[in-house]
Amino acid sequence: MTAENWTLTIQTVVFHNEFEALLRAFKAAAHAASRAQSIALLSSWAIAWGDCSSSPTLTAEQLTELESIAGELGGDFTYTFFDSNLGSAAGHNRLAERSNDDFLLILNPDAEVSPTCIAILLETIQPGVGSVEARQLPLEHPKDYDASTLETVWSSTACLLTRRGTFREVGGFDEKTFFLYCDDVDYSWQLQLAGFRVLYQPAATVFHDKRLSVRGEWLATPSEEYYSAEAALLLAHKYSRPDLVKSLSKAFKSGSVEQKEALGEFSRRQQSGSLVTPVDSNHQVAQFVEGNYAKHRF
Amino acid sequence: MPNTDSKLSGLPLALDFELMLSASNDPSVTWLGAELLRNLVIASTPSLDKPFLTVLMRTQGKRINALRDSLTTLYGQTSQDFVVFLMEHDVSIETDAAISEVIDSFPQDFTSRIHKIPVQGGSRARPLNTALNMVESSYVAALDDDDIVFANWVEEFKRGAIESPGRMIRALCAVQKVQSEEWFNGTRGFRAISWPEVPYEIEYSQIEHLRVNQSPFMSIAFPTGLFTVLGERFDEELAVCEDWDMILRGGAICGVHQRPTLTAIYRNWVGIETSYTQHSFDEWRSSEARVLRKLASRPFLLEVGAIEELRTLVLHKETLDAYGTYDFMFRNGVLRLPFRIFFRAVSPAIRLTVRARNLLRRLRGRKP
Repeated sequence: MTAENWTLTIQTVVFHNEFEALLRAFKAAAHAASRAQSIALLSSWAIAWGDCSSSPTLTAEQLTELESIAGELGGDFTYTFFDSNLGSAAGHNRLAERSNDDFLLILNPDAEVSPTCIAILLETIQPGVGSVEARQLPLEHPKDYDASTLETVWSSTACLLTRRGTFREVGGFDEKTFFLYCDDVDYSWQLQLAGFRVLYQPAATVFHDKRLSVRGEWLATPSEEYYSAEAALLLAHKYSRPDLVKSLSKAFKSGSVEQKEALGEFSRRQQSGSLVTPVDSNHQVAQFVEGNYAKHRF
Repeated sequence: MPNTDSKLSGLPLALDFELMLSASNDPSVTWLGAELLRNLVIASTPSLDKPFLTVLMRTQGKRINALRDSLTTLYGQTSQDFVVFLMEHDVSIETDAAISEVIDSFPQDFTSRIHKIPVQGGSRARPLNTALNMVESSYVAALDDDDIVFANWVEEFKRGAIESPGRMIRALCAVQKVQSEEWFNGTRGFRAISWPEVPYEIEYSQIEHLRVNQSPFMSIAFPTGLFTVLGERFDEELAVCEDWDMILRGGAICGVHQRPTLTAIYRNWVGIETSYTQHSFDEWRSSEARVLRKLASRPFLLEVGAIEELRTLVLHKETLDAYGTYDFMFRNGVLRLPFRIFFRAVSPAIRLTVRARNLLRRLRGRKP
């Protein structure tokens, strides 16, 4: 495979997003892919959206508009209405199944790649590298990384490049376990268990529309709190940390409504025997550091 | 650039000046005179036939990757109703080429709104004043080439301008520590090393701003009429504090509309020279003194509510003068309770120490 033959699918799972925000993200992705094509890193590219909303997000006119934008810049656009809220993990798996390209760029619907982002990610993903994550703006992710090797413990899928073959080799995202959060942490750890390196590339940037309160605090919605708590329990279980499951359960029992609900769902799965068999029993890849999944810089 | 922001389309774009002037208890009406105020508001009212905002971005091209970040965050704005004046201050031909390469990487509908303007010599205020001579928008805001903004930076300024045309608009800004590192391609990179924190007053206070600037430059949008109608300019005699100087003067003349939103991050560079660190302590002190001297040399309009703040401060001073010490703080002030708790906690230890001392003296045959 040479650089001239590389092909890319940029895949996004949509869920009741505003069209204007989607359009900005779409244009940015198309522009960055087109630039990578112009310097012969890509031979072709496509943007694929999978819609988990209760009704189609795009009108026929909007669909035509997006196809036209992609076409003018040398790419393709496909839109699939799932007619079901599959969640992030399953949605991306469905989109990846339909791709025949060499690379997948997993991209959030509210994330706009910078013009050089895709080219830099492609240049960084050398053999043996499982995935490369772009640096988010304006809120940089706090997890630590090695500035010389770019290695990190896990990668966010806000903007993540991975090989489709590698994605298939490790079974994609664990949709049986994860609905919304920690599917990316799990994917990173699965890659490392399979012998791949996980990289963070600070020179590649993506503008991710996140906001803070006036005092600089993180603004979490109730659903974010619920899925975050649920994913924390599921991840601790999957990566052979019953001690953490126990301490999280104890904390959530007297926590917020969302945390109690998440604990209830975890207990239900536990009792029904639907939890996955734990892996990484020797704790080779998984890290649980002060409530995070890697050592943080701040 | 037509005003096509759908999020803002429900808000009025024209102002009923007569209604505003007649119903207003705005002290600016008396201060400036109705005619000047009317012209100030007209020049600064968002309209369909001109861009809403001109972003003044000063650069010396020293941190190209940081400049790329700044432009990327502008590229991601929910409101694209702005133009960028990229003020290249004492920039070499090579650096200019590097800056052009960054700009040219963006799509044409964005780059067509970025105007590079070379500026030679002068202080930090020189590029700002050069840009002001060319501004055609309703509002002006500065964003330095190493700072970044949230997606609603322009949108929030515009909301404020539509609600209060002619006023200075203030949003909130966080500070994040950043340190330099080398990136894979040998370029000068960096990483954030702290969470964005907000050390500034949430609500604008003119009195507090007299003590110290509580508004990083990018947290303010100035009405263009302040410059085009009233002729204000940044003070080129100032080595630093040119932003604080204009915020104090502009805020007094136009009044301030506060947005309850955090929209920007000021990057505090650790361990390397920046425009902040390259100036000496003496330069900071002398600039501060000049700003205050200028304010003291002419009448100064206080914002609504400032009198109460001033009176409270004067009463505190009176109490302080009466006691001559900080005693009043312990009698009735905020430190009274902690002071009492502290002495209750340490008093057993004091008693034991005194008894031990007395015992020792007795053992030595001395009278306690």
